[in-house]
Amino acid sequence: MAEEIKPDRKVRRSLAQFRELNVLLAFLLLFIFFYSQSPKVFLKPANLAVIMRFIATFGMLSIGEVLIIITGGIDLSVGSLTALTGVIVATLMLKGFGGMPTIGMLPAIIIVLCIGTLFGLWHGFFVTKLRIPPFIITLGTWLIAKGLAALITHGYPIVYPSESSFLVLGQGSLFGIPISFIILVIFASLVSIILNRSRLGYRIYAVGGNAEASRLSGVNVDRVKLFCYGTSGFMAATTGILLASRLGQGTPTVGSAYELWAIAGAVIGGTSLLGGEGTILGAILGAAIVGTMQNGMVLLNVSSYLQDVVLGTVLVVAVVYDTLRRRRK
Amino acid sequence: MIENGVGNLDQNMNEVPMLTVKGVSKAFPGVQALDKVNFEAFAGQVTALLGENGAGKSTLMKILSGVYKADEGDISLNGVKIQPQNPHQAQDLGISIIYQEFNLTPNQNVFTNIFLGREPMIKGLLGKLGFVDSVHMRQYSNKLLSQVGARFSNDRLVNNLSVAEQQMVEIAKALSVKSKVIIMDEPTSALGKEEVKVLFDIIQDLKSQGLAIIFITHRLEEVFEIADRAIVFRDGRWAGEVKVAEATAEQIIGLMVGRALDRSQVHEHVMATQDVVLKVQNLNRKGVLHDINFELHRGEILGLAGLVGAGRTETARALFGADRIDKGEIFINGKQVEIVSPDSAVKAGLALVPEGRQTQGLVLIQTVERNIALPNLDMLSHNAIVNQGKMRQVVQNYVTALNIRTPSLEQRVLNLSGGNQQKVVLAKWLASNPKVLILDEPTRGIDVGAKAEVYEIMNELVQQGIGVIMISSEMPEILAISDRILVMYEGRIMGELTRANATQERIMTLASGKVLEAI
Repeated sequence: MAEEIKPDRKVRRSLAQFRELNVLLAFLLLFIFFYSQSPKVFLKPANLAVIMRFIATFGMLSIGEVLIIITGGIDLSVGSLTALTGVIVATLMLKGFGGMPTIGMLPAIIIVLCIGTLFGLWHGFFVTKLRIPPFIITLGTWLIAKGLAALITHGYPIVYPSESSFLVLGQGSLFGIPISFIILVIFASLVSIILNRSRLGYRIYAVGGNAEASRLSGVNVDRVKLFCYGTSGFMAATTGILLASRLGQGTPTVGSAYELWAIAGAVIGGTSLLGGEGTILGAILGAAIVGTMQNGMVLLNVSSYLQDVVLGTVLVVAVVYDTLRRRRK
Repeated sequence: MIENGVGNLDQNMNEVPMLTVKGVSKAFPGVQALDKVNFEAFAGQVTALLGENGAGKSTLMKILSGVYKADEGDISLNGVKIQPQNPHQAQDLGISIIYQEFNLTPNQNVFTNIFLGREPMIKGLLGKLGFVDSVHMRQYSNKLLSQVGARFSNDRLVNNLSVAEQQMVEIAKALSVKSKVIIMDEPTSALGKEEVKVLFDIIQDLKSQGLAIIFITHRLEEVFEIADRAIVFRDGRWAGEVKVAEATAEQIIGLMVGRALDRSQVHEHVMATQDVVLKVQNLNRKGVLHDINFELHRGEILGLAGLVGAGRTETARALFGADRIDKGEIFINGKQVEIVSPDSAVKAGLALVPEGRQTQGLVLIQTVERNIALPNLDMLSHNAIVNQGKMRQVVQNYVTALNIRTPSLEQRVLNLSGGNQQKVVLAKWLASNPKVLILDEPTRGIDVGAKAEVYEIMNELVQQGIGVIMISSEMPEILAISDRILVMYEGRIMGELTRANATQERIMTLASGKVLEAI
């Protein structure tokens, strides 16, 4: 008898601890709903690939956003950084900066990832050493990066030739799964392990919960925050590269308002804007909800204006629900 | 008796109470916070409400002030039954509460705060449109401020005021709504000796104006100083009531803990050795600390006494690398160490239990386990990955050893009582195996039982050879616990007293900046 109860309890407990359950259920419901509305198209591999690429884009940015929001900050720059890094990778590979020769794919990607990370660390520097509110410093970069992207390209896209192997990253698939989605899963798993299992992850949550108490517990708060901001910049650059590859061009107009989608994904996934709480899985599921809804509504021929109205409503409902749920506890 | 008139105390004793609480109960999920308690407060009297943490004091006060609703029972004010639905309504009825954490908006000036939410409007149409009568506000607030003996202008921003001055603003606020009952929740916990005196003068004055004061405190000596009656709660029940003039401290403590406190358990150790574990030389921080020099021995408890603002906390923070120092050398076990941050202090073998348990000591939203693990993550992880099995084991050991009462290691510390929270802070530092442990007001705001446990833990630590520095504003505590006492005044060490020659008078003399005559 006792042996029968034990595993049952265990299951129930782990279910209760699985905080993303609500988000997962919401995602599944959405999925079933859109499938029932357009059963012929929705589950087609081609359409699923489209959804997965959506999720990859927003999910990648959400990873960085979650880290920063857990520490009590925010990163408004990632959308513009996506555009800037996409433009830079294309320029490096196709045109060369200021008459310099073009370089290959790998060095170009590495350079761009470094640039993205440096932008993130730059934010971290302002936030930790100069105590500038993250909202302000990342808003500055949002504008600066947007401007730089337009300056570099003079406003025109830099188009890859259609045979370029670079395009595989954003357009190719492995066993039917888009490569960009696979990259998302890899990064998400990695950061998830860092958050849940590593010393650094414990410190990130602690800093978000109470930075002063963490500092007085011997945590190097500045270093923890620098890691989070740096990672967010890195993720923005990754997204920029994948988007440039998917679109076949580096274009300054891409990525507009993506930072808000990323924040929305994180928040729908249960990340608290007060800091100290949030998970990567939740954020990815949040991004999945956003991606699925966008795709589903296109299939249902919902006008793009109405799409925004619906998504905005979902965001508010999700946050209100989550807030009430927390308060009940 | 006429309202607001001057009442005669003896006469009041026989009169009907101003505030009567009868058979009030309140349950929260899993806890019966209040179980049919009775409580009375008379006009022109100070009624002290005592009890260990979790005894139900705060719950009753929150019911009186309209924050919670009672499950059963009656509350009446001047014989009329009342049921305040929210704090605003309670204030309208004449019940004001001054919390430990003030309800002030720091970036606004004094008079705006006094009238917050009840701003007087200009007469006529402009007032109807929402224009406030700032002329009247200034005049009236000046009157209220002088009533509470405040000597600061009502234009000052609240965050430029000292804690004591902010408290005056709170009291003025309570007077502005013509309160009949003022509840003060541990009003002295953040005040220095002088400021407490000023507060007590104000309370005397309020008494003579016929107000009923309810005074919640953990400090017994204050009860004897200011209160007329003391009511004790224990475990959500009414445990007893005494007339202060006729009661003894042992009697009241007995009511609080349900058993008499064994005084001998407080301290009886002679573990101090001659090995110097910590040596501080010429520690200076501009305008704050001046030439701090002292030594701490293995197995010694060194008391740091002085008034609030004398530089005790600042010394602790400077030692621990929490504040930058301008000059000074620190040696641990004879070796000079470079302490530039708490991070390096921990590595050097220092630990600090800070003054603000909730703001500086704990990550409240995190679990007991995570809080205890936080300073020890290096030790608990292998290749940067936390060994969760080991962590659980270490944490469980300390939870058991320190008798931390928590349903599980996964409980968020914000749900624990003050005493247990403090033990979590202690546990996290004990796990780090410090050579020197600095305790800043370790027993502030925790109940008598938990205090005894904290002393017990300190005893064990010194037996293990740890050097302990304890900052405390409670004179009896400093005297009972310390092997040696350093007294600070305005950022300097004024003098050193041994356990044998320390007295309250000598400490006070040094703490007020005077030099001791030869002992």
